[in-house]
Amino acid sequence: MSVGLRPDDRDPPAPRWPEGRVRRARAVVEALLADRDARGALVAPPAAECDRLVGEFALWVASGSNNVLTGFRLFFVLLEILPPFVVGRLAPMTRLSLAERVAYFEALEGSRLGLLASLFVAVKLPLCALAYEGGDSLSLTGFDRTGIAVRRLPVAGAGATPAGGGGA
Amino acid sequence: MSAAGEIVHGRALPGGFDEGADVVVVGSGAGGAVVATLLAEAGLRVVVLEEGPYYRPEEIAGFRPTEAMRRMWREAGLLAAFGVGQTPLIGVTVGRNVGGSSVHTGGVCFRVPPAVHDEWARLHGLRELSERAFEDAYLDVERRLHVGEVPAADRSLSTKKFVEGASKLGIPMRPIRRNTQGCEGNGRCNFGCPKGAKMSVDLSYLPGAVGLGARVVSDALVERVLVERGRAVGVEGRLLGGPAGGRGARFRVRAPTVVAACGTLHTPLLLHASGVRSPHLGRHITLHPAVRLCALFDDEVRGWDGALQSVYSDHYAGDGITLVGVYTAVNVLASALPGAGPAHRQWVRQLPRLGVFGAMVHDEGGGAVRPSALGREGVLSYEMAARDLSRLRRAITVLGEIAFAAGASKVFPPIFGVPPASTLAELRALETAPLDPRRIECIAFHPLGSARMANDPRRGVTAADGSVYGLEGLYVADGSVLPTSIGVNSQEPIMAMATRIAWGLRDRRPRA
Repeated sequence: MSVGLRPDDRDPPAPRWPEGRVRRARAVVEALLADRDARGALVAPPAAECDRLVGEFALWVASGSNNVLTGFRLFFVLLEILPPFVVGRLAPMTRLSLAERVAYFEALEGSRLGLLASLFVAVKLPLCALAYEGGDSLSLTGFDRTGIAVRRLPVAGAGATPAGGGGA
Repeated sequence: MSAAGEIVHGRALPGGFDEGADVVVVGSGAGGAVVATLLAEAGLRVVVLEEGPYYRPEEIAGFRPTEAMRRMWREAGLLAAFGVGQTPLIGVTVGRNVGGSSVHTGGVCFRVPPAVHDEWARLHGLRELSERAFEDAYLDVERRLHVGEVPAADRSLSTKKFVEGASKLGIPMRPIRRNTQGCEGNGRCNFGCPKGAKMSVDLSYLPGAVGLGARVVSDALVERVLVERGRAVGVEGRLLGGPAGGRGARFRVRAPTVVAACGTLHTPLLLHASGVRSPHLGRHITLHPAVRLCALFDDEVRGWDGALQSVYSDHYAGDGITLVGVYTAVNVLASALPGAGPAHRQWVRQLPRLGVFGAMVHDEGGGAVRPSALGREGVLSYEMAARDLSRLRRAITVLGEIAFAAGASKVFPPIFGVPPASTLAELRALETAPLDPRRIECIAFHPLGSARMANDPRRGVTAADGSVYGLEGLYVADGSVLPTSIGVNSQEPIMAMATRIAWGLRDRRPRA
């Protein structure tokens, strides 16, 4: 099981995705979370972080029904084959350079065809939600608690309850 | 099954079971928990069968948002309504756990607006659904849930900006009422309260039912209602999960009264699998399509500190739009910002300066749920009325106008691929620009109406007392019975409706 996951017998068994789907998911994660380093070069996140996210995403999808699994299988296949039609590069998504993948995804998101934009966003939303709920990516958001599930910091002068009492 | 006084993890049972009860309730959410509790209080033997897992409040408190989604939301939180025609793809959030969606709401409690009650009573001929007829049920629900106004001190800075901008435009904002006790403003209600302050039904109702001897079993998927000589006599199904994750043992519960409370998306599937036939079954689904707009301010807003929802405005109710102060977990918010790679991360770094404003549309409906060939989950489709699409686009403009009035330097329209707008003119131009509706980022939290009440079986699936036309002994008590869209959050209306139905059942007091 991936780092960060708490074992629970209420979770489904850890899925084993075929190598091709793992490679595609990893290529998407790399581009989504790519950033500029101190010298301005485009860099992918660490390999371990990509592996963690793909593993957690596979478990997430496995927690839904066959409808969900079938949908994401299709999404990853479409993302793989669409670059020629979106950015004019005759290569599958996994063969694009990191910069080309970033440009490809931005073109998808900005497409006037809502279905193309939706295709990308359907994959972007869960992967980013996983990425930004821990580690360095959570720090990037400026969230000032020690973890995403940690209670609010006490507010000076507000007494025992930070917001000055309950909503009821 | 197990000792009384505790909720049973179905997946941990050594085998199936076969037992009797006065009432079997399918589903433990806002409808099922209410019916079960009120009937247990009336002395009836009640069994509640919940398809989803049971997590204790202290477990939920520690879940990351994505853990909460994959463990406790239907379709692991990845459910969407397929848009038909000029319709956005709409993400739909529904709970699948002991406590149902009540565990995942923002805690907002509205009564059904008087105009909607009036429509039900006058136009639909359902006099039993008048505002007056609901009064006692509302009071009972509000007492048990500890419903009260959110104090102004609990508002986040994001919400304060929302109120400030609205005030400058002459749009009045009112405090929202919520079912919380000791809310400390953790700003992540939809993914479980870290404090356990939200009075969801697993905390406010079910413990009372269990204490009175009701059996609540999680991981128990009811597959069909048992029918003998034209009347419902119980249910059967199978236990889910277990250490091996395989198909579980079968169970059967015999009872003269069966209450389906599986929610708008699953109640019609259960009824259909049990032989109920109606042209209205699974149709007329309303969603309250909603949008949220992010606004960038010069100063830090840190909207995660404060009550998730604390104000609303019905200023545009005549246009079918309700404005609501909202927020969400920062990772979910980050995921919705535009771009990929460095461009996306640039916006993520601005998150402390982002306020979030929301709106939802009182829709005509146009949703349908059908069985899927791929498994037990249905397929939800939705055809948005042209009027509602216009309302949605209007709502985006209104939210942006409020944001700019509050001092925002940029707003992020919830339209995929559209860059942030820096001026009112840019924003307003979007409302009428040619646009594929599937580019609109749209979410929905309140699916309703798939087994709607009507005073005639030719117009609906259920009667005003919750009974299913054509199958004696079978009742429905969840959001599926609401005859129309209500335009406000549905938790309290569903609970009040379930209260009415339970009181009716109690007064008839069926016995095994």
